[in-house]
Amino acid sequence: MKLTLHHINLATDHVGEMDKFYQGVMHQEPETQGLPVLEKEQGYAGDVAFVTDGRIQTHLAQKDVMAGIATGQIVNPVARGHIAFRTDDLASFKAHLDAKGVPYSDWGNRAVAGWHQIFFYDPDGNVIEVHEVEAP
Amino acid sequence: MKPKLHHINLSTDKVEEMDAFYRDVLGLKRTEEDVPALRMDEEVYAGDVTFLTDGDIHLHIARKDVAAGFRTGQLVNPVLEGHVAYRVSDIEAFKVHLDTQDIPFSNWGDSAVAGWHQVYFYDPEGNVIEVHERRL
Repeated sequence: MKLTLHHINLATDHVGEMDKFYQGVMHQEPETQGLPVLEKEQGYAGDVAFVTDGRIQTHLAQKDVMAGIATGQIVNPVARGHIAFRTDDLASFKAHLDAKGVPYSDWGNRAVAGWHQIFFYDPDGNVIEVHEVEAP
Repeated sequence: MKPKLHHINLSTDKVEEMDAFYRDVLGLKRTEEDVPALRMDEEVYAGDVTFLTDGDIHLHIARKDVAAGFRTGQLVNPVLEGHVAYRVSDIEAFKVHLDTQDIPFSNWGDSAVAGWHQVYFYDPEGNVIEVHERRL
């Protein structure tokens, strides 16, 4: 069960401005490969800009403070953003969280087609995502 | 039914330090009048809270509790990032008002505080708002 950092998500009301900043000032490139296909009918319909340093992506996502209460999920990943890791075995990782007594919000693939995502809090309340890309 | 500002809640890991700051620097005083009778139920919220006042509006310095949402199943956690609290004379009428405005709310009832019926919801910026009726 491998875990590697996949992206940082910054939740914002200024997606266009943030995109311009991260490209213009931070020299990030627009990401075109392996982007999440957003499911906009199932709880989160915000715009997201995707940039990358060549390895780690930054997702600049329309802030949606209501996404948790609208979907019934305890953890809302687009209220204050999150840090996302990718695993090759989400089932094992969920069992690992259960063993550690860490509760999580299981979003399944309701937000991103083909990505099974869970979200939980670190001890300071930062939101952490772990996802697995499902077999097509 | 006009809501009146009752208190500001600052949720923190440094309750003692924050309490000292607001007393020493801002000159607020400890109060025991009209403070919530916290149930200290480990399954809801059992953090330590100090109650300060400027003579009119209270300031609650509360132990931050990241897990309170998961523990209770409530979609709004008022002790994650703190909240702003208003008092009404008729919480049931206010709930109807929220329904009319299509604002979903997390109904804590009196699970955290004996004699206070509390609801929590988000403003458009994601700030947590409490409205409660004091019944004791």
